[in-house]
Amino acid sequence: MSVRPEVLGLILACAAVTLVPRILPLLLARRFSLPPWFETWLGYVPVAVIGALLVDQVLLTGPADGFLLDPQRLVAGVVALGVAVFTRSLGYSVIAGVVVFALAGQLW
Amino acid sequence: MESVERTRESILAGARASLPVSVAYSGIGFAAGLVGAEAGMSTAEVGLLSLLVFAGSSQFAFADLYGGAVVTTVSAIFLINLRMLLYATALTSRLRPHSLGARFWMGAQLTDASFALASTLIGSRLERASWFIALQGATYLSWIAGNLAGAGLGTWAGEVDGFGLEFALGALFAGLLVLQINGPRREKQRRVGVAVAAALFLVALTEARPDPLNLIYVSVAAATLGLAAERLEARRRREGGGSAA
Repeated sequence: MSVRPEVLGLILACAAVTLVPRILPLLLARRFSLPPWFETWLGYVPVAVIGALLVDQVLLTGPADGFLLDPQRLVAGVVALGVAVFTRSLGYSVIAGVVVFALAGQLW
Repeated sequence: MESVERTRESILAGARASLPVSVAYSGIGFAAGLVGAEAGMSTAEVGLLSLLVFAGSSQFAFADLYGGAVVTTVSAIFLINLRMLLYATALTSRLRPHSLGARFWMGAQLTDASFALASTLIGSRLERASWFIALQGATYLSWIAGNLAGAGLGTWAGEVDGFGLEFALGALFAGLLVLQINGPRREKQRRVGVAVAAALFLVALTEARPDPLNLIYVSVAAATLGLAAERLEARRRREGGGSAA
């Protein structure tokens, strides 16, 4: 149970580069205002990011880098999407996705 | 100023909203702690890393790289985290009213999942700093606890069955994506188009060239398509209206 000085230094450097991109825009939030077209553009960022994160979780989780068709993830992802469309509930979609993923794991 | 009562209420709501993420993070944290321990880090080092570098994929990369050159590790971690610049910018106009300290905390604990959650459940919730800080705080604590457990117990826990929880984040993103498709009909169609474009771009780009920056590239490209479609439609409507008049 010890922390080596060189590891500590490395962790601190990584903490700094992890922190800066996260806080910079928020710390400067009152110093600048964004042009309206940029605000509109930013409005599309979350839906784009979430679309990308979803395929990242469903299709890009293979052991190697790249695309992988894993029926277990595919089925669970489709079920979670379907449940979300019908219930508009995050809780139900997460539960459905997790349960289907676990059950599908027994099959494949 | 928030009353104590309402603050407590929004803290509880935030913690509740974090639940799927917290559960997923404790599981992923366990795996990250295990990987760290296997790479030769002590439990204290893993704990410190998860405390100071709250960024899942960065931590796996750290365990992978930490024996090598410092510059390589730090610049790899920087690139992995660069997408947060985009996330934080997208939240800026919503979070501007909050105090500097609150904005610092909200930014410091930003992750893929908390950004996705916050930008979807944005409505009245994000007007309360305590809601978002509690949401992120709960995910942060779960992450650290998972890491410590993974580093401390992992080596003799052996193969762990996740009970399907490995898919909690995937299911969460599926749910959030559906909630993101809102607004009038044309707006909904555009939003579906943007999500599908981002998804297809990411698969294609990752196939061609895996890179931590791919997520930024595809999100920027897809959001630009959304903006262009909106502009084009607005112009067409103006012209159509003009000729009819």
